[in-house]
Amino acid sequence: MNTEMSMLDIHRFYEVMGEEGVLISYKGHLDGGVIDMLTQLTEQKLAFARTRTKVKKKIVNILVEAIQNTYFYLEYAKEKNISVLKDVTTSFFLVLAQNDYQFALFTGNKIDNKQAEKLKERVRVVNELSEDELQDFYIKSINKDELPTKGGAGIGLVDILRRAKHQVSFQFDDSHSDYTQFSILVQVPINGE
Amino acid sequence: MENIEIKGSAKQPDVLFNGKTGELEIKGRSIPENSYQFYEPLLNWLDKYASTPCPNTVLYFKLDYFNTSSSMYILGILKKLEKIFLAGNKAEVKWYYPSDDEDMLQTGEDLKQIVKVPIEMIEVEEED
Repeated sequence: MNTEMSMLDIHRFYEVMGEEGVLISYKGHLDGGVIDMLTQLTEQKLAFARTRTKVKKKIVNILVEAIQNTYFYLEYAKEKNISVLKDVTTSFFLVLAQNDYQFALFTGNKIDNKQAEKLKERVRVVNELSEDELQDFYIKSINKDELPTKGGAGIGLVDILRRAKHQVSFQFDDSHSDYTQFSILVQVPINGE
Repeated sequence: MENIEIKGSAKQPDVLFNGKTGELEIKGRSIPENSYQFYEPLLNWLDKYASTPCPNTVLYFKLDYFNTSSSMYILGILKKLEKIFLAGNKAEVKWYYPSDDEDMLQTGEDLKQIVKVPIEMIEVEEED
């Protein structure tokens, strides 16, 4: 390994991150501790950037929901042993960036092709809902007699769309034969309006 | 009955359920991965409390953040209060929201649509 060259690469890497307004970048293993760490780091970075409280809260809420969605999927995949990919549990990534107008949260993970089809359909359905319909969907979904004993409420995507007022893009890259790369991009205006 | 006192953390709210005064408070953030583990004891406590409630039960919600799985359990708690209220007891909920937090206001309004127990929305000033 050429140490001098690597040091230069690292400095260049952080220069590019700075130019692109990257506040946080993470890729790898995901567990409860990592979720805590990313949440706290996000709050600190946003506080340091003097972000308005309402915008900070919106971003943190969306971030938690997005990360926990991935976490529950990975737990489910582990339990059901549906993932044949060795690196699916470490495929999680998250980038939070900022420019003069907005924050952008970009996150995702690899998913099993079968699950990807189900998720694609779910995204198609909720993405077509108006703001009022999303609101109704959310209320109906939380108003259940049976409460889940594990996992989430299954309405993380609905909550993200609701909070971000549809400034959300979903991407399913199925160009790989054995998995689908799922990504979600959420944009939050810097003034929160 | 025994009170519930839970010190909050980065993921779990402070909880103070006082069975002698009927004052119940949930405060802080509620974003656990496993909401069942956290909220099930609270729901069980409320079931017991509902058999002999105080003359006046007041539940204070002062939350900063909560995730969607918590929201189901928060509604579960409100339904327990509703049961107490519909049985002819005095019960109410005070839902605090920062003036700048439209999402927290919206959630309070959503919950108001679902349960019959009175929910008072209380705006608190939050500095930027």
